[in-house]
Amino acid sequence: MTCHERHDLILLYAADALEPAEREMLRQHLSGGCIECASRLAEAEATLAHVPMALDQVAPPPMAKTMLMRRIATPSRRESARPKWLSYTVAAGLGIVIGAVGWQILRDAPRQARIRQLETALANRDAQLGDLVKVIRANEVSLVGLTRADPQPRASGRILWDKDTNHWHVWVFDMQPPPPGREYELWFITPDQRKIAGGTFKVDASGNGTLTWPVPPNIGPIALAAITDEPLGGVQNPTGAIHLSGKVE
Amino acid sequence: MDDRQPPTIPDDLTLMQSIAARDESAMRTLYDRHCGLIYSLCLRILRDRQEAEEVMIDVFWELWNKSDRFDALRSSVSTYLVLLARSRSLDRVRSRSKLKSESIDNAAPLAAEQTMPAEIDERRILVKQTLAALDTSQREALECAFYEGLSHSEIAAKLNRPLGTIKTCIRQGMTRLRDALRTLDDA
Repeated sequence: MTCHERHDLILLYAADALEPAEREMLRQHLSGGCIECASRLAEAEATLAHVPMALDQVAPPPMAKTMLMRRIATPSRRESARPKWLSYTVAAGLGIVIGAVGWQILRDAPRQARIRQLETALANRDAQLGDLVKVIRANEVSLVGLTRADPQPRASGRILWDKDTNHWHVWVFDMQPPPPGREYELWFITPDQRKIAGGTFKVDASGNGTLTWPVPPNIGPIALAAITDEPLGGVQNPTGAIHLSGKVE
Repeated sequence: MDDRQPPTIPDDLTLMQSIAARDESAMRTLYDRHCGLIYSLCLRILRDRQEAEEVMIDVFWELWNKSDRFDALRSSVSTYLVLLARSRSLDRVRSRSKLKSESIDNAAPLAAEQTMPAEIDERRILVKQTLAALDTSQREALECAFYEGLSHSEIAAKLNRPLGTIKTCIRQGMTRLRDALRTLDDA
């Protein structure tokens, strides 16, 4: 089954409406790091999460907020009718056991988190490699070098324009993270200074990022490529600073 | 002339970053922003005020505890909260030993002041309109899947429709909602 054929299944997966065997099959596919299907699932879940907006909203009891904030502010402390010496003894014994278990969990927690990070990074790297191979095999490819602008002391980038599929494959390196609440956005700029929005992307801890985006149909000649920082989700007209730009030959 | 600027309203991601740094006021703000939606969702699934309140508190408590692991690339805060609340509510339904005989429809009506004020919210209006415009079969199938956690074969049995029809209805309903949201986001 191709990823395209999985699109409908992903909608049902997000709605938890698949039979167990189908669900497990798709779960295994997703855990293999398929970026396309993971992206589709994220969109399906975001769509599904809007369903309860159609409900008439009911205010929770005011005490609920008080109880939540109380739980957050103080550790749970239960009053007991038992003699205090018994409570202390039980607490001390439990404390020793919990401490030992907790110490093990604390020691393992960073390791588990690191394993998850590495698994995600590996899946992303596989996907990027797959993209690169596809571009290299294209019959007609041109290269655009991106040079840094003032906000970026060390950044650089490349765009491979796959003219078979008319997609830009963008790689950026050594970029500073965007300001909080913002992300990077790609722009196609024509000789008459029209600026057409491409996709948005983030960079990882190393300052590296990638984006694959279709060249807008009927755009005509493209003079420049540029990357700016914009509000999350991107905008239709650039508002932020230019971080990278390059002339398109 | 008054030179004061209106206070900036932090977005959800900014609040999550503050919550990860253990800022309780950020947690209060996020709760105020989303509690209506989450409580209403829990109430719709559980049909019991006490349980809905308990599950809602657990959901926000879990968000507080796992705030440092929230993946903003994977989903928005709202999506995370809604899907978590749905999952926890359905778990609670499944663990019940017997169904509650009293439905929310039979419960005492809520006092007027307990209802959230209607927000002029473009997104909420769009969702209501889009779901109202679905065919009955599409809306029923989607609501069974979302609010009752039924598989498509269970929905087919409940609504007495062919399995293929149910899959199509859910897919069409979600596709129409997705397309309507895309139109709003692109605007």
